[in-house]
Amino acid sequence: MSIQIVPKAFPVLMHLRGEGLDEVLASLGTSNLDIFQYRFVANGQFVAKLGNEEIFVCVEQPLDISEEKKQYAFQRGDAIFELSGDWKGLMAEVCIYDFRQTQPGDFLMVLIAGVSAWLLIPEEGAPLVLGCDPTYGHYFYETLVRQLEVSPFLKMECQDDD
Amino acid sequence: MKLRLGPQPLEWIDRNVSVTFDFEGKRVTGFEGDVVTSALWAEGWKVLGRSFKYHRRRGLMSFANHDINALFQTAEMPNVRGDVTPAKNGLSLTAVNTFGSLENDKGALVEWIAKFLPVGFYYRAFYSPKFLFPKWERLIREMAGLGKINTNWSEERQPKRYRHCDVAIIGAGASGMAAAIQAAKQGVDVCLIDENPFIGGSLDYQFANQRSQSLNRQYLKETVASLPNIQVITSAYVAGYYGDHWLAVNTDQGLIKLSAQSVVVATGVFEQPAVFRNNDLPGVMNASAAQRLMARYAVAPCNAGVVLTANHEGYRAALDMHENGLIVKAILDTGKTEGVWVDEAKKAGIVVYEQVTPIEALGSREVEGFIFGLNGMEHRLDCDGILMSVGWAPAGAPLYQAGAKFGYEPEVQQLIPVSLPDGVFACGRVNGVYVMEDRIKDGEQAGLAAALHVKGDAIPEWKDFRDGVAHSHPYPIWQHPKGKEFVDFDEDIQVKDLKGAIAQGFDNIELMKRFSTIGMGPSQGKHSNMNGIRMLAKLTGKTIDETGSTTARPMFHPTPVSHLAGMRFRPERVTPMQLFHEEAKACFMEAGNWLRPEYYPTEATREDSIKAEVSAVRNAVGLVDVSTLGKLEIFGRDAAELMDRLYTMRMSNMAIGASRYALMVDDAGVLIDDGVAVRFSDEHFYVTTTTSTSDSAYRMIQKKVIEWNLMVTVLNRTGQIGAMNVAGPNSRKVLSKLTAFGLSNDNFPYLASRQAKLAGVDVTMIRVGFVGELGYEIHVDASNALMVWDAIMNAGKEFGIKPFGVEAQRLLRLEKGHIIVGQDTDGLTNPFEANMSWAVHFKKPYFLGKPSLMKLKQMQTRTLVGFELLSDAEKDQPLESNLLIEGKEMVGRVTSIGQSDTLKKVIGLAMVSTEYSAEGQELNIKLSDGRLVKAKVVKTPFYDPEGWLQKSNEGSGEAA
Amino acid sequence: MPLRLLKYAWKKPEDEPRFFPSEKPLKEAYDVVIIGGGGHGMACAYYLAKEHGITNVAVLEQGYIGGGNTGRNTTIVRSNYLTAEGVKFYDESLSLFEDLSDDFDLNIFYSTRGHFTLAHTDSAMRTMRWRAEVNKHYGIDSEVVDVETIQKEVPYMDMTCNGQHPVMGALYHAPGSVARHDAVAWGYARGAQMRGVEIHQKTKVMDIKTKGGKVVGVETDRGFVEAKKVISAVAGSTPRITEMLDIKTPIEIFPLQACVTEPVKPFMDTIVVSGSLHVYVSQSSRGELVMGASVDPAELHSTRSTLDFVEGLTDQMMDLFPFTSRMKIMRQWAGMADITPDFAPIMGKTDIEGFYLDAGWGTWGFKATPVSGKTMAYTVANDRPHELIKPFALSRYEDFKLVGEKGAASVGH
Repeated sequence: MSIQIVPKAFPVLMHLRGEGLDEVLASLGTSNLDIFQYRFVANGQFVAKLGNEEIFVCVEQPLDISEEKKQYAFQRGDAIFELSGDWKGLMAEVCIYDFRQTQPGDFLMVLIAGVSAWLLIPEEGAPLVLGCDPTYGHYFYETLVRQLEVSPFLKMECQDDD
Repeated sequence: MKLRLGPQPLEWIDRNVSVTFDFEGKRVTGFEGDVVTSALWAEGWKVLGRSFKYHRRRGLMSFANHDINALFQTAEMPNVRGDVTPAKNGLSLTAVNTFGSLENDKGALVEWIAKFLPVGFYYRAFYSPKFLFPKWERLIREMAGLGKINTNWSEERQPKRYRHCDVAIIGAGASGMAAAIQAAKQGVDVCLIDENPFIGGSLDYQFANQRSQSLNRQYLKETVASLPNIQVITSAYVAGYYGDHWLAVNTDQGLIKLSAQSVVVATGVFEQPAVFRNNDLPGVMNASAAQRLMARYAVAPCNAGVVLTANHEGYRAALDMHENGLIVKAILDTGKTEGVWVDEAKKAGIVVYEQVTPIEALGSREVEGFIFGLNGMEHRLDCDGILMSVGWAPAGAPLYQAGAKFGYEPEVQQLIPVSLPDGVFACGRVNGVYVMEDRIKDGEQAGLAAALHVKGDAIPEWKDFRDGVAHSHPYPIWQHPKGKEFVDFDEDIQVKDLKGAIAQGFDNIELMKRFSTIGMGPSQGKHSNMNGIRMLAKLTGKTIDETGSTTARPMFHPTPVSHLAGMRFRPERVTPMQLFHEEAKACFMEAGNWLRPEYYPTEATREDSIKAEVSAVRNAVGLVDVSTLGKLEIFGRDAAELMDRLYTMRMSNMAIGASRYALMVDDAGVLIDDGVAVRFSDEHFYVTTTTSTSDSAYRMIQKKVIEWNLMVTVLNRTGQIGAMNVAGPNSRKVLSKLTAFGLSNDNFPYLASRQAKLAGVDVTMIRVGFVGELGYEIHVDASNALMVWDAIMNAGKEFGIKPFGVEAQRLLRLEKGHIIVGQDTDGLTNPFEANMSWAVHFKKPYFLGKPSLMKLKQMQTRTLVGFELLSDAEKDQPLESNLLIEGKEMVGRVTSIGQSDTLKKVIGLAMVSTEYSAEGQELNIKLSDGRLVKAKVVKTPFYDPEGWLQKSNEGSGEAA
Repeated sequence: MPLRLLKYAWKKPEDEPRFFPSEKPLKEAYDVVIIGGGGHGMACAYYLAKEHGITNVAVLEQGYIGGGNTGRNTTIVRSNYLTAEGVKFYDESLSLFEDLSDDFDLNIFYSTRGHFTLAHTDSAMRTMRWRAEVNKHYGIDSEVVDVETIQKEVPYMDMTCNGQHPVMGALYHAPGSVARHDAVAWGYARGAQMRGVEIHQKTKVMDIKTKGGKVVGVETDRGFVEAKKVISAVAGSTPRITEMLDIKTPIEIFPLQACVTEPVKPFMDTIVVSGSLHVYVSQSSRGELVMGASVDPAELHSTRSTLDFVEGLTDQMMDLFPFTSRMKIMRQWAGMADITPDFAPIMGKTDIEGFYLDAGWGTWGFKATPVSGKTMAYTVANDRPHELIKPFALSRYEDFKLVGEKGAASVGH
């Protein structure tokens, strides 16, 4: 299974902190989202719950947020990519996390090749969406591409463990 | 091939594919599947190397990579281990550490003076007269060391990977395989690791010809292969056990970092050599070495050999030889052994002598005979091989590293694990279990226990499967008056060496090791530590337990640097404006893991380019990328309280829309950071930090929030926001073209902060004065930053805008006397020394560093001053860190210095003893060549002391 | 052929004189008890006996001689420190080191190799120049050298460091040396022992007893021993000792790891340290590359090894020496470094009369072995601190008179 990484354009990613964020979740149809879970609300748009007072929102529609309501919204310019194929194979070379433990719908924050990244764990066969701080974006992409090119295990057709 | 045998039932070689390589300039032919040592031995090469100290001829001994007799060198690699390196076409090998060649090694002369080189001889000589020591040291260094390094070799890196499993099993011999099966049947993920290219272990080489074991073998191997939740990793050894059941598994392709929930150690044992005179002659080897040779590679250990044994296993080895048509001159049993193999051997007509005492092996280049004592008389047998089967030591490194304790079990004459940490299990011969059926049962219980541990279930009571028979000789050491009875083959240590060390007071296990160097060679004691312990115990009258053992540390085998290093992951950061800088051909510098433009090469030289940038800022307008600054959002109920506690000045009384210089010290009152704070609302602040502290300041502040139990959120937005500084008399004019927001002093005064639309997007603007001109620092979301930068550059064209870099910025701020934390301050500088008492507000009940600062205020002994050089000559210009001298004393040092075109002087900052800090004071600066030049203390800022320029109303269209 | 060796040729091993005595019972009382039988403790005992005639001394070592940090360090000796007090102190140490083999009649393999502290940033260059200027002012042979000079001396080093943080220059310290760490401890131990000092290995101090603010003796696992003067020289175990007397110090214990490669023929004749790359390396006379890095990032009272350490070190080392990728790491180990906030030791008297402290040696202890022994012996014999160690008094922390060494311990060695 060949692995591919491509940069992906997403709507503006907003990091929301503060009180009353359940209303925002409700307005997006994601009231019953658990902490450290995400959901796609449309093609290429998602919502992730990071805490009772913290969510990631990546949607096109405008949001009703205000500092008066003690809600803070910060725009993020994260570099976002899609990893298709045997992404767990690539992760095994750049990330310490035990991906046997992950379920589709999990929102994960891990260190990949020395850079903090967030991951949207996909359904079986779907690509992995991951993002990182924009100032590391170039390094992140180049490093993963290089790993794919250089690593003998990832170049093997049959990923047999021996 | 002289010693190649007919097909063996379990051989590893492929007789259809031959392999050719060179050894010491001679052609050698073997088969695919051979290792270098087996291919050489098959062709009759008995001398494979020369020993470390005496350069004695050596052949294979353990043939398990537990010794370095067969250590080679290629043009590409030093220290190639013949026992485990596959024979490949085109290899060109030479022996290491020979002077001349393997055959004619001049190093052998050392043996003639061996008498003068007792243990630790180098400690007693060579140091006097002093001037000769370097020559002796050179010689000693040349004689020491094994392989040769070619410093032109290119870098190699092998990718590492992580693996996660439930039960990791080290060793795929009979007990390891049995453990894997039992664990897998419990439904957990099992990882089964073995050093060899194939699983099977001693079941395959010690019991190769034992027909009764073929069923076991078949069952174990087939079941392992059939269970999908057993992952087998071969040609892999565990370099180290690291906390929390992490194993560093080294494979040919690279390192696997394996995480397990429980570990089963089924690593078996290291066969130990018998210690008698000339036991290192080529042809003298461990019995298991001979069995591996025959079973795996179909190579005879010798034609007519003698088996010296203290256990049952030696008889099995003799039978293997016999069944291959080799002559067994006799089995020399040091005691009296009973068992099935003893009977079989006698039935096969092999002569057996009991209660034998080894005396010496004979031979000039290889073994030719053996002298032994029997019934009080000396006898000699001619032979071209001696197999030693006198006992084993546990391969316990992973257990030791995991924190297991070993104890000596006299019944088996072996150290066995007596306490194991949680989640770690041992089985098989490493656990003192030798009988094959019992090994399998021991493995089964270990595998089951390991799986149950993972599941959190109760583990059944542990059964002892040891047979109560000693498989090791309690003291397989027979000293000879003429010596040369080798204990450690890597280091050429004989019995008298250890006796000498002990006699001289190095009589505990660690001191004995360090003085004699036993166990300090590349084999790290695998074939020597146990005999060393036995000797020490006997000579000091202690038990083996009392004697103890040295610490087993990683690596189990020397592990390639290329594998440990893995790929190079060095995160690099670039700002949102990187594309512009690249297109402008900026000369970059590294600031931490950031790339920043040092300057833009618009003129012929670096100096001229920087001067042009400075001039643009002073006379027109410049634009600098400051995106690398740390940026923190601080918001919540206790935001103002946090600000007050973090910084030395009061922050909670900032007006909304104001900015304030933010100075931070640590608990000891030492300056650690400075930046600018902006207040967006009652509960919302925004703070910058210096580039180098963005991550450390953030981490520290997070900790403090928890420690102080404050209701406040801190976000590190460093990479999410781009920042740039437009500075110079025309800066307001430039920005006015891009915004409708009123930029006059009335609407947007000096030191205020405003949020507005610039170039169509939301930005935060702060009026700052770092470079001492009218200036605006613009903070904008990363995705818009480049667009805003470009817009400003465009708008500024008519006003002569130039981008400027770090070097120009350094000089500009110097002209204003502004400090750079970490350059003008050191590991002890407090705010008072840096003329910043005004920034320390003691009236606050508490802030970080307050108690220290209260004391330090009374103790000031140094002061940061501005100075100008009194000489114009370029050769007289000091460098940063040049000292200030008064008489013979150091009274300070230069912290910043620069040639100011604006002021037409050389100016700088210096940290100096306070008694020399008065304005007008003359200073003596000592240049690096020793000459003194004069400077004078002046007030700072050097440029625009009243600060009119940064407060200017220029370009606002209003009256000043 | 050195004539000395001829002497030994004819001796039987059993007839060799002992370096250290066999186990003997503890006396009831001594004039001085030294806790810690490493280089520092033994050196102190040696100078007490040799220079002050105080021989009724017992050195109590919980393990074996030199088994603590003395046997675990990477054997680098240098005096290119940042502060006046540091420079003077370590310069004296080097002078003593140069004559130790002769003093001991034992070869400690004191080998002057030259020492490069590489600078990869502007800020590091400034620090190197600062150290060089201070060193030169006190007559120490140190100088800032440029890239060309370094390349000439160390032709096999990659100055570009793989394109990231290239070498910009270095502090070159010609007197930088290596020595055989164990032999230093053995030499001092034998020398002390020859002059009447008792050495007791496998003897653990469980408590220190005082009366009216004065030391009266120590409780060991072999019984109580009276003594009016007790010195603690136990490096990473210092907190355990100071707790016995309720003495507060700012010492924090961090593991400090090191490793060696397989032995190879000599090719590296100098010592190379890089602050940015957190790696230092030299080649021992046995042929192994001896390497270390910074202390572990978190406090821990343990000498356990980590994989992180050796991964990070090999990764960084290859930037400077790409060819080392073909070498193999043979062994790794760790010691416990007692780190102080100002990277300078804590030496001298304490508030408890008769209790003296030789501690806070962090990553700068082995090179100070001779001078620490000499000055502590003086301090104990005269009950007042030696001139050279006055800046290192424990009280400096309360008085805010920290030593400014942080710039010199770039990677700490």
